[in-house]
Amino acid sequence: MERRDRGEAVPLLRDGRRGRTARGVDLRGHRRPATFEKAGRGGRSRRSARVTTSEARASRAGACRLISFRAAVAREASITSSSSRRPPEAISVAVPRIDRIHDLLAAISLDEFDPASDLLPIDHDDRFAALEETINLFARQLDATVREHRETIRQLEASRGALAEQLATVERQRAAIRELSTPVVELWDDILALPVIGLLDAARADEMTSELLERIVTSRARCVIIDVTGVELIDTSTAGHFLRLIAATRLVGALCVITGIRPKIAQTMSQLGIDLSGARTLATLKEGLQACFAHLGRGAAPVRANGPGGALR
Amino acid sequence: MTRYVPFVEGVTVSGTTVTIIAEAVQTFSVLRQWLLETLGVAAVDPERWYPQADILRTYDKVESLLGGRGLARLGKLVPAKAILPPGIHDAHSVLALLDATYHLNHRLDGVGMFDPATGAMLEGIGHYHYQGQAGARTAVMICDNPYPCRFDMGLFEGFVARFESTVTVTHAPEGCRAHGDPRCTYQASW
Repeated sequence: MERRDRGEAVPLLRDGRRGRTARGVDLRGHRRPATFEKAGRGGRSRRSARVTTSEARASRAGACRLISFRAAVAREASITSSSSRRPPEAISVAVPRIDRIHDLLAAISLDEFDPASDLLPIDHDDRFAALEETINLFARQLDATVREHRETIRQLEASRGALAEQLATVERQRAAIRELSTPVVELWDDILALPVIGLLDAARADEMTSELLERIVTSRARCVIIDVTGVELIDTSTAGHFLRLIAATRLVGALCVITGIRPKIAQTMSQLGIDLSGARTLATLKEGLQACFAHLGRGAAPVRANGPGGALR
Repeated sequence: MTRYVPFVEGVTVSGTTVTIIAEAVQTFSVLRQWLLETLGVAAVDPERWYPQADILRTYDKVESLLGGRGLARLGKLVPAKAILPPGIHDAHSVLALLDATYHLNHRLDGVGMFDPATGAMLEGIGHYHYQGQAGARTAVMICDNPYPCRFDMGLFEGFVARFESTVTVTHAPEGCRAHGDPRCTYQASW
């Protein structure tokens, strides 16, 4: 712009000769003779070239305006370069102005930038002031972007924290459910009972086995009643879990009694060829408890108004 | 641009100190790489001693890239990572013992510049002179060492900040090493 103001560069359309562009079309799309000059680097070498007739024809179709424009830009650059042989405009800048820019950029790099105090004062009216304004714009924009990113990160971290809390709650609930699903109860002295309700998968069977064995050891129980009254369905896989549970119980020296096998379950087990001969099987929990008393040599359970034995009356 | 050069030849800096400097510029990977390349090592060895001239060149680089603000930041970060010797329990003691600690971490021709047993101190790297009064919430520090002015300002701020929540360090108007004067005078308040 300034170059034009000084009249150093002639716009392509002001001069007929210079206005000629590649492919014979000027910026307005007017046809020109199919001859153009191509400026070499720095405008020092110029050569002429003649465009072939077919190319000239193609250009006449007006389809090459983009190419023409590029050539125009190249010529413009050539003119600029030619004029650059003159000494460039120089301005003097006081060192403190440079130091302020240095400090501003350092503040940005060190993440210490504060728009209230670090922006450059625009108190000159020269070319360097334009640069200072641009730097201020850059600094403000960067600061705004950084703030937005920080806010986004803060929100993401808050979301992540909330999610982690939810996951922790779910995990606590899951643990509580696991604990409730393997209720090993001390039915009587030396006698534990494990009522099984619902489906028995591998994970639950492992938890049951682990919990039951631990309780047998800690309470020194000698008998275990596994009550399957609440089990409505059994397959080979479920039966396998039971067999392993029974085997593990016996390994720690406890008598294992299975109670509450429904007729339908018994029939299925029979069909599947599942053999529970390793454990004593009885119809009801009451019978299981009596079997345990017999094993312990205690005869019948004492009658209690309240307490564990009361439920059996 | 100020050039930071040793007062005498043959001065080396402890690897412990250089490690702290390397950690302080860790967030600026370019500077850290510059430090390592200047030292000619892949990593700083706390057991080794490094030429003071190389360390000062690093400060020079920090100043050329990040200006006085960068040096002050570096100075402030160093105390946060420094392990203080026994006997330092407040802002006064940390500033009072700074000169001894400074000499303890430098060697001249392979000889330690401070002997804690005798209190003997070799000359050649300048000093951190402390002027303070116990109980006062201010102290004057006079520096005539080859390290950058703004670095030392940050250093005082960082050391006092280990014991006090608010610290202000101001440079007295009389003379500044950055302008070729032999010493800088600071007032630290907290």
